[in-house]
Amino acid sequence: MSGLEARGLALGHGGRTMLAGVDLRLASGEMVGILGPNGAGKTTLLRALAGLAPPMAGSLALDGTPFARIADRDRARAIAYLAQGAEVNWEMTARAVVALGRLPHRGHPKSRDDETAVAEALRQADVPHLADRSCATLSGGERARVLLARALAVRGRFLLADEPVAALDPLLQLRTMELLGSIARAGSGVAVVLHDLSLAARFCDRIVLLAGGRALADAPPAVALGDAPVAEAFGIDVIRHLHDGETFVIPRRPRAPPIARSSDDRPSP
Amino acid sequence: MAVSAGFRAALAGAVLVPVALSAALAGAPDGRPARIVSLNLCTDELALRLADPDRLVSVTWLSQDPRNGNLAEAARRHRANHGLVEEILPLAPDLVVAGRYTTRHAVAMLKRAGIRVVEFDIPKDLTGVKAQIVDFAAAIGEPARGRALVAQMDAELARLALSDPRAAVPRAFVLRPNGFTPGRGSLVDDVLTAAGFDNLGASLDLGAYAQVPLERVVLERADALIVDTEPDGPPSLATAVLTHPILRALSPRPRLISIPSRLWTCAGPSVVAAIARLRSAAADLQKGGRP
Amino acid sequence: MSGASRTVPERLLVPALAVAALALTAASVGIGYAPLDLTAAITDAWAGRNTPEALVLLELRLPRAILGLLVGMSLGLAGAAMQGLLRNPLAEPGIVGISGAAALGAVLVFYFGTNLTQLTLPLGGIAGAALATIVLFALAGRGAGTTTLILAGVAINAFAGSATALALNLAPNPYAALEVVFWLMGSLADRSLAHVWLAAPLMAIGWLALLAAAPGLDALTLGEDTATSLGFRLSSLRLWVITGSALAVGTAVAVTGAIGFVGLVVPHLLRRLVGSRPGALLLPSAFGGGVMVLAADIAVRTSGIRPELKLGVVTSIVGAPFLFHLIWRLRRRMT
Repeated sequence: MSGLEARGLALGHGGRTMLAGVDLRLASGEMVGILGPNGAGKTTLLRALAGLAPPMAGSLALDGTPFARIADRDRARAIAYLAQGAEVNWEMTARAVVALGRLPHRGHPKSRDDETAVAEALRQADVPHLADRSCATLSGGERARVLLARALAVRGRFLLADEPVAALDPLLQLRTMELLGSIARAGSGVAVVLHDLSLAARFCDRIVLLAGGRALADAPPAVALGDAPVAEAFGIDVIRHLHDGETFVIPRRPRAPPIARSSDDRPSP
Repeated sequence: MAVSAGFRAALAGAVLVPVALSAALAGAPDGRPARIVSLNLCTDELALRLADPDRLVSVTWLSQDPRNGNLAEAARRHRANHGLVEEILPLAPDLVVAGRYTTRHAVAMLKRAGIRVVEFDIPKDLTGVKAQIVDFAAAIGEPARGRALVAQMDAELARLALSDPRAAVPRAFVLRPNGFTPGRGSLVDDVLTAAGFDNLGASLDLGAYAQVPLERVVLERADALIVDTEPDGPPSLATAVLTHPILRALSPRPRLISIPSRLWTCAGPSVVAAIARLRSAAADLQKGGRP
Repeated sequence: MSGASRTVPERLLVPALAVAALALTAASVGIGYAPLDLTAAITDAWAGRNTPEALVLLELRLPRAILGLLVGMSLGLAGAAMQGLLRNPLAEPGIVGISGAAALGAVLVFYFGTNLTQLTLPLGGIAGAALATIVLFALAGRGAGTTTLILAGVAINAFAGSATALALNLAPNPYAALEVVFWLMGSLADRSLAHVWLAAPLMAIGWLALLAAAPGLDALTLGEDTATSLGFRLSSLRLWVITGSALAVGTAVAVTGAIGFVGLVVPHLLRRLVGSRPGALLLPSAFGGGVMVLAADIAVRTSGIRPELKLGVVTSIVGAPFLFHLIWRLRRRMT
């Protein structure tokens, strides 16, 4: 059983259910998009997969070994996690921030290629020119790329990225998705939380569509982003456009009634 | 309700002050104050020694504690006060004696109420102590008793054994709370000199009060350390210095002399007792062939 | 601003600060209140003769210099670690209540205990710091967040402060409040080798705990989730830093009273020289703290101001302007 696998995952916070029985398997070499409306549990799922939030029920396993039996540092070397937002607390240089990705490898025999890994991560994320700049002086987009490089420097077999394109301009969004795709093709398993349906449809091998803490679909984009699941998850109608063999999925209008989300405090009509 | 309570309070105040004043005027047919209240530990002792007991209305609660006051038993026969105006006004005093630096608010209010307040400073030497006794006695209308007490002190001092002029003068440091040592120009300096000691604190030029570093104690080769407390007194950081291992390692070790603070906290007649204790200790040191 | 030119001073920083700290330790032995013939003192001490000179050297000056170094290192190191843990340049070791509790413990044991020895005061302080650490974790709980920790620290500080005042009020010695006010301002005067033997092992354990937290503090730069994803457990990271600070700073306060601003200012001054990496800041801050406390203690003895200034007063006078500068810079960044 290779891969990163969650079964029947349930998680809550402060009495509120965030995930209610989600299955997900991330294999090496594939890129999985995690989509869903706000509050669907995307970040919760990604954090659980990274080992940041112990589940209330269900199991998490890396190559068949339950998380509980894996040392923190071994898990950290295998799974790189890119958090949402761009928190950098001290005015460190970009290079020093990227080098933090090597922390799980300290004292490990391979640690000699730390510098190579940092340099390569900077190059992959297209930010070598920013290496000696303080993170405090970087723009939001630059900082997001530096933090992506930090996650790449881990050289994990799995990369979990929470909204990596949220702060980026269209060009950098495309570049970042291409980079994540190339990392998957190079053999890593990549899971990425996205809001852009077109980027998800074009770059992901598989989509997990979440709503209300449950997986509505876990299928290739053509199926998972079909009219029915998208309407059920987001409450919108979409336009579909085929161009050069790629599908572009563009939100058109809310469905009537306007926002028909299932929620505990608002009974569905 | 509120109006009547306020009215009553105002009325009580209006009644109280005239009562106090009339008592003050009425109580002095022979010119001597008849209702004396003391607000300070040091004026307490002078009042207890110099005033007729029936003319002394109240002393501070501090004097009634034998750890602070030299006349605690006598003090307990008088009403205690805590330096609060509210306790003092009903006593209708015609003379309040107070220290220069304590109970400032009470003193100011008593003066506003028209009560005669005499304040006493802290004397800086033995001459000042005697002058203050004379002043105090005059203030309470007993000048003869003041002169007698001073004469008695002089006589006691004269009776004390003179130190041996051929032997070297023993050298001493005084350690007071937090290691402060009295320097030149303090009463303690004068007391030490009168007792036949060389006050090293004064020769160090540390100012009137300074902390004495243990290093100086050792390198100045002090013969004696004079501590401000009884050996079984409450713990103090000043005496904590005495537990330093260097004092045990020194040979010869400096002699420890304890003079309870009540004997010289107040610059009163009891400093004679402090001088007596110190002089016998100095004589001992000289006999011991030191330094 | 090339990478190479920045790494060179970084590499030299720790050795340079260490040499400076040791040089000041030596200088501190040579400085005192009375002229001391050092050659004679060393000769006598070497020969084991109990002359006053030898005793002053061994029993007074050496312990004072060593304690200055140890206390300064503890304050600087704990300050840097606490700033890293709380991710805030305004944090200082006292923020979680350790210093206040150490002072309370010292006062209680000293004024109400029996059997007074020269170590009564420091032992009481250490007990107070230990108790405060236990209460802190009991209050904040195992999975405590940063805010909970600080709130618990504020509560402990407030309680310790008022309890100290109450204890002084009820103390049998009428001069207790005066003495303790001065003691709390911090001083290295008249400490003995016994203080060194008591403090050094406890501080050393604290230092090891704090230094072991370095990689975790680095990871925490990118937030708690990222730090956890890099293999660090926040609960154990907090345990290391707070227990280490309690040992190092609690002992420092117990032995010398409160010496302010060292834990706040030293990391702030050195941060840029190590490229702001919190883990890399620990060792330089330790030696920097040693330099600051020793320099202040030398200044106290040589300034000629009598009565002698308290150590905490000097470090605060020097430190406060740096704090103003720090606040000024933070304000500018926010606007």
